[in-house]
Amino acid sequence: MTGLPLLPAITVEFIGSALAILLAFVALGYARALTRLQPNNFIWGFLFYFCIAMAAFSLSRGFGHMLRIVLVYSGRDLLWKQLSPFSGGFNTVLMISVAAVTIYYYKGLAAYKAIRTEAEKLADANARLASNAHQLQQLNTHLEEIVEERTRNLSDSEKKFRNLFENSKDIIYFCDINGNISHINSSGIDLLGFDASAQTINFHSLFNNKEVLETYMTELCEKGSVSDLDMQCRGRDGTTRHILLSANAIYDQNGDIVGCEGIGKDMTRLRTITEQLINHEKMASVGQMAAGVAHEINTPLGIILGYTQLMMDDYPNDSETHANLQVIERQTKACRRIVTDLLKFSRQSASVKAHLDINGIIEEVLSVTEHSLNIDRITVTRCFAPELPMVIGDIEKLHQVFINLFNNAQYAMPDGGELTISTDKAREAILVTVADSGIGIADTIKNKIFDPFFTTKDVGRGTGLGLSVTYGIIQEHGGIITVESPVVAGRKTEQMAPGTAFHIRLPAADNHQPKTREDQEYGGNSRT
Amino acid sequence: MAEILVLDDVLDAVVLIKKILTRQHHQVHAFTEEEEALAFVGKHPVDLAILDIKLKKMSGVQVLERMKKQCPALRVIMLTGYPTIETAQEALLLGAGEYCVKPIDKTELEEKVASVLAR
Repeated sequence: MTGLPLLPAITVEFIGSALAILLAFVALGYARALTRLQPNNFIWGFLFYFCIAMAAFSLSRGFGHMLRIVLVYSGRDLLWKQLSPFSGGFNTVLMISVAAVTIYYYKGLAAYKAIRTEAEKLADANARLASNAHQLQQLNTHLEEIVEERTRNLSDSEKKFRNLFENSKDIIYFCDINGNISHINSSGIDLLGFDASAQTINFHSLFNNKEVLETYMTELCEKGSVSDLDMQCRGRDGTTRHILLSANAIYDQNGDIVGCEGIGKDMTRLRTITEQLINHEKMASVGQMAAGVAHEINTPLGIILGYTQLMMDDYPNDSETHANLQVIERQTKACRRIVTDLLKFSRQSASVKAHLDINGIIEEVLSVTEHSLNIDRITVTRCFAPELPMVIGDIEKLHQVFINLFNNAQYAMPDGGELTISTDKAREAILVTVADSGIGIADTIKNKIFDPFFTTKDVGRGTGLGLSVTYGIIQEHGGIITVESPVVAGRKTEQMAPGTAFHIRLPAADNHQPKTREDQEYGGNSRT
Repeated sequence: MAEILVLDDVLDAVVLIKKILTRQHHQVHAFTEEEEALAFVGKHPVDLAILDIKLKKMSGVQVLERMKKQCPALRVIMLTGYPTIETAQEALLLGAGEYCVKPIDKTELEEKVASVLAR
């Protein structure tokens, strides 16, 4: 086989094959540059993969042609014949890959895009999830802080109100609609004398006066609250306590009253002081009036008495006129005694002060009165404190005080009984108690017994000035006299007579300032 | 028998004392006006003056003081319906022989007059 006539064709084929490889890779390079420039451009993407396939195909085909020319023209036809099926196979496979790229690139790209979109969505979802998780974590942390702060505030508030509840000197209580107390502070327990471990305390049962309880309930039901209700109840020591009560109703979800919460202020002391002040003022004004009346009556009384006594001299002692005049004289002297009492009460009678032993004074009075008391089956018990400090006072007036008190005790025990006189020393004062086991003094008249002319005795038996005079004398001595009935101490059963005790407190001599002249003249107006 | 002056702002009271003491055979001069009583003491010898403390214009203690100046030897009994330690002390300091609280009893008056006159 001569090669000369085929040389140009073979040369063209050889160079063409080489150029085909070269151009295919150049095209691949451009396509690659384009895809980098616009990664999302469909055409450039397609061209890039198409060029890859075409470059592979060109390489396979061009290299096959060039290898065939070299082998055939170098006389190694046999080797080529052995290799040519492989070259054809490569070409075919690569041609198919070019076709496959051409046909399936779009779908592959669509699938890729779908997968990428899903992946992006998933990534977004993940990012959002992470963000949410972060937010959630932050919220959770914040929530914990808020809860912690709120809990702390709540605890502080609870502590604050618990302290207010427990430390309040007023009674604070919570009860249901039937009055069963669910909570009551220690002041309430102490004041009302409850056992702290008591399970059920009924607030309504504490009311001494049922009408006040009715008012309390009515106002709670109708207005939802009670303001400044004056309630009386029995205190720890058995005495009547005056409570100023304010309460609010507690409602359930349906608006029905289920209970109430209230505050009660113990006004007993204030009330006692007020009563004492009123009494003091009353006594002072009555004293002034009594003194004025006494002085005005004194002169005509003296004239009546004088003329009566003068006329008595004019008639024989056994005559009827003399007897009549004696009656006038006796009754006028009775009037004079009242006037003298009034003057003593008004503290304007002359007074002589000295250091006195109260135990001795009581003994002196008893030496005169005990016999009479014993006749009335009254036993006298002395509970005198030894070495009692002296008091500065008028012995006659202090005698009068105990005479009056013993007389009253005797009157209160018509069927006999026990008269207990006790003395004691307190700080800078001397205490004397005169207690009887008699009929006692009703609450309704207890605040009147020191009033002048107030008496429970029959007409003619008492002037109603004994306790007034006593009050005036004790006051003049810078002391206090109070009455207790029924007597709590020593009374074991309800069946026992209530009894009455007068408690006297006199300043001890060492600390007692003698009254000035002004005090003596005007002392009745301002001293207790 | 003594010359006695009685001074009280209430006429019935002085008349009563006058009657009581007259029966005791005393010469009694009764007055209700302070000036008249003071003028009488200045002109007539008086053994005893019975003076009420509460008078119309002056107090009995003031009258006592002036009478004592006029007649230092005069014996005096003070009467009062307003007994206070101070007036009693003041009266006794000014030379009063007795201090009596009204309403005075007839027998008590007679005894005190006799007692003061006997000094």
